Amino acid sequence: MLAVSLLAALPLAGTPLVANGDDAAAPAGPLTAIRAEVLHLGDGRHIEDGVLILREGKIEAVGKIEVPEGAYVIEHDGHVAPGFVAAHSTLVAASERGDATRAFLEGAEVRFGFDPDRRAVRDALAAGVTSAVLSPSDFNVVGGQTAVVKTHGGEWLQEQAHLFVSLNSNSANSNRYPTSFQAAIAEVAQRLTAGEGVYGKAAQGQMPVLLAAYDKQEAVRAAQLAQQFGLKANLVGTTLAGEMLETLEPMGFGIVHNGLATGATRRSRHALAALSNSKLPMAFALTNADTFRMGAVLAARAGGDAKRLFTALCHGGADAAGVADRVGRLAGGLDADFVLWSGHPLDLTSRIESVYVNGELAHGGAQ
Amino acid sequence: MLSTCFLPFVAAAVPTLGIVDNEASDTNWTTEFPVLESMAIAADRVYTVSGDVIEDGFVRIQGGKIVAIGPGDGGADIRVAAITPGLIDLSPKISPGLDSVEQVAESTPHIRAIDAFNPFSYRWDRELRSGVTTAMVAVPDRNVIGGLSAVVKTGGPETVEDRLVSADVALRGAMGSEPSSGNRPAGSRGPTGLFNRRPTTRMGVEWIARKSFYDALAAKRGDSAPYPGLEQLVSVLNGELPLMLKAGTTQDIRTAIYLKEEFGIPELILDGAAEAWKEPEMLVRSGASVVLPPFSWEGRSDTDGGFMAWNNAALLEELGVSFALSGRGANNHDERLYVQPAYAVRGGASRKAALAAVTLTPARILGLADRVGSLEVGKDADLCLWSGQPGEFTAGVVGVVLNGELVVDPRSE
Repeated sequence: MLAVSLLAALPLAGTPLVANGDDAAAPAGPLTAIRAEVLHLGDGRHIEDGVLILREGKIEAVGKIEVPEGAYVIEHDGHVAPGFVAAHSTLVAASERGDATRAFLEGAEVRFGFDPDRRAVRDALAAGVTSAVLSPSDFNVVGGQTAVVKTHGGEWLQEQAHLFVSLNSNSANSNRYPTSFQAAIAEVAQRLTAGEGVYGKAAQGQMPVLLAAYDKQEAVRAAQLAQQFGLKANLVGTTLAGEMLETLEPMGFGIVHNGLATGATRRSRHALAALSNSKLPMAFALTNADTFRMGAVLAARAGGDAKRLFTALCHGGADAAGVADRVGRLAGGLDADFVLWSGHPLDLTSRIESVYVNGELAHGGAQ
Repeated sequence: MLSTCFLPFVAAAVPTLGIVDNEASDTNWTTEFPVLESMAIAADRVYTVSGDVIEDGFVRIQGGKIVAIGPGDGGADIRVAAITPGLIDLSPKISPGLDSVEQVAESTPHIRAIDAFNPFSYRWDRELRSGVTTAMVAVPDRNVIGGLSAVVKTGGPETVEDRLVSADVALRGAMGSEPSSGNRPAGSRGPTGLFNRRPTTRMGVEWIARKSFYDALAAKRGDSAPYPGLEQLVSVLNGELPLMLKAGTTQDIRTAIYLKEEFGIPELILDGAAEAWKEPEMLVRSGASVVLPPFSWEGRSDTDGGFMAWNNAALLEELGVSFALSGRGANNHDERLYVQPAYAVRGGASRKAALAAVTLTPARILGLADRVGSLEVGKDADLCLWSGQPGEFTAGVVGVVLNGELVVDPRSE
């Protein structure tokens, strides 16, 4: 309320209007500046006492810069980070994500099953995930085409983002053909060779592919298939990728990791830590909003590279989702999707104070 | 002083140690040579299997192969009670599971087990540590004809390429109840899923097997167009590929042999043939080789409860039937492959045949005897090191060498 009335008096005064980060409301003016103890840029770098400048829903500038005249200023005694980007998610309801008609549903577009009012979507937003890839279920060999959506406002970043291919024991299931892994791979290979429609786009590298492969030998075979056809691919769900770096690093495919829950085994934590210490591109999948960042935290504690793990939550996810030109970092020209944290995002004692999407307060803050 | 061998070091050393001399190209010696260290192991007895037992002998290995065998110490730095070739199991039943068998059809000869081989499985490592260096990979027996089996080494780098000995080495099929289990007739309202189909009985299993070969013969004559799996069935009919059928009980063994005789299939291997002792004449006449299931204190084997007699191996030896023993990938040390020869000897088989049954005989059955199965100069350096004499219950496996690498060191605890 105070901020709004002050804003009305804005025009000629040169003094910037200042509001405290805790009770900042959605800025009504064209230009907003946020000064925070630490600004995480999302690519591993951070700026202390930095300033983030937004204009009309986009980031105009970020750095150790002057607050421009006429800007509505938010002073935040905490950290600011880009909104997280999930490179794979189960945000579409289970009943809508998997059509059991056929094992190959390249024409199915998951976006038509998305309900933005679902609790899971609001929980994701509240956990700092501002954009997510909507994926089909993994029980079809080709589940369909993913889409990338913002968790607030329902804006589509990409409507036909990836071809989702599932090469694991869930897709080689006994309900229908193919029941065997061998046949599943052979069928996908055959379609990629024939190169019609979406498969043609995938084979030419125009449409990226998400390959769900969970066990190590499934991952090796999926990666070999991707290499054979020159696919622009990320492996999804290969939680033990960190144990196969000799094989996977030369191939260069990114890994979308399912994350870890608090009771995760030592082996899985060390595998994720090893993955973060490698050169493979990384991103995280959203299956549970509460634990989305938990994997990064546990792996950092297990000796992983904290910067790379944090990047995986933001820019890594955006990169795997194919929307790194829009979200995932605090950089000029990108969307103003960011989160005000009370402390470092990888510190479990930190809380989210507010979440902004397209420069608008989406969660938290003064309500 | 000799030091222990290390294949990984060899592989890493080659590129860095190279001294390329382009002038020396008129010889076929490369001047880029890796450092080849070698190792020797001595034993109270060295069982070559293909030849004599050497009392107080040694085996020397280098570059992953056996380079010398003989009496004496050989400069060895490891000494054990006995050395045998690494053990070979043709029926370890270690498969990645039901998603390696294509159940949309009951006869899928073209599906390859090697494509589903999981080198990361701890079960291969367990086999290796109890002396099994070479093993067969097959799809589970849910189909009447499941596909092509392969042979791999149980250790080494965790990739298919590094472990493969031979892909597509036999066509796998099964008689008995397993292929029909899971199938059921359609209910009163009609079929509801993939498994509402034939076979649900042994008659159905036999029908599918016969139909597969019948159709293959017809296609071979040109009476129909080629289809997936035809090539493999024709290879079996031509004797280029052995047919390996699981058959445990007497009637299943008979069915398998009738199938062989009807279609003139030259090479038949019976897997899990617990009741082989009940049909001696048929077996001899058929010329089939046999893989026996593990000896069982209860008598009933895991293959449809076929009764595994203690003197099964002894009887087959007497008949001159080629037989191999199997440990079924067991966890229990009293059931693993290395102890099976002791049971066979207890049942009356000779030590020679019992040891051959876990080494050279399975190698010969699959045509791999040029590489594995016996201790001969030039063969793969796969050794099993024992604390006693194989064939005795008190003997255990204390060391294993695979591809020249000492994987289990008898000197460490």
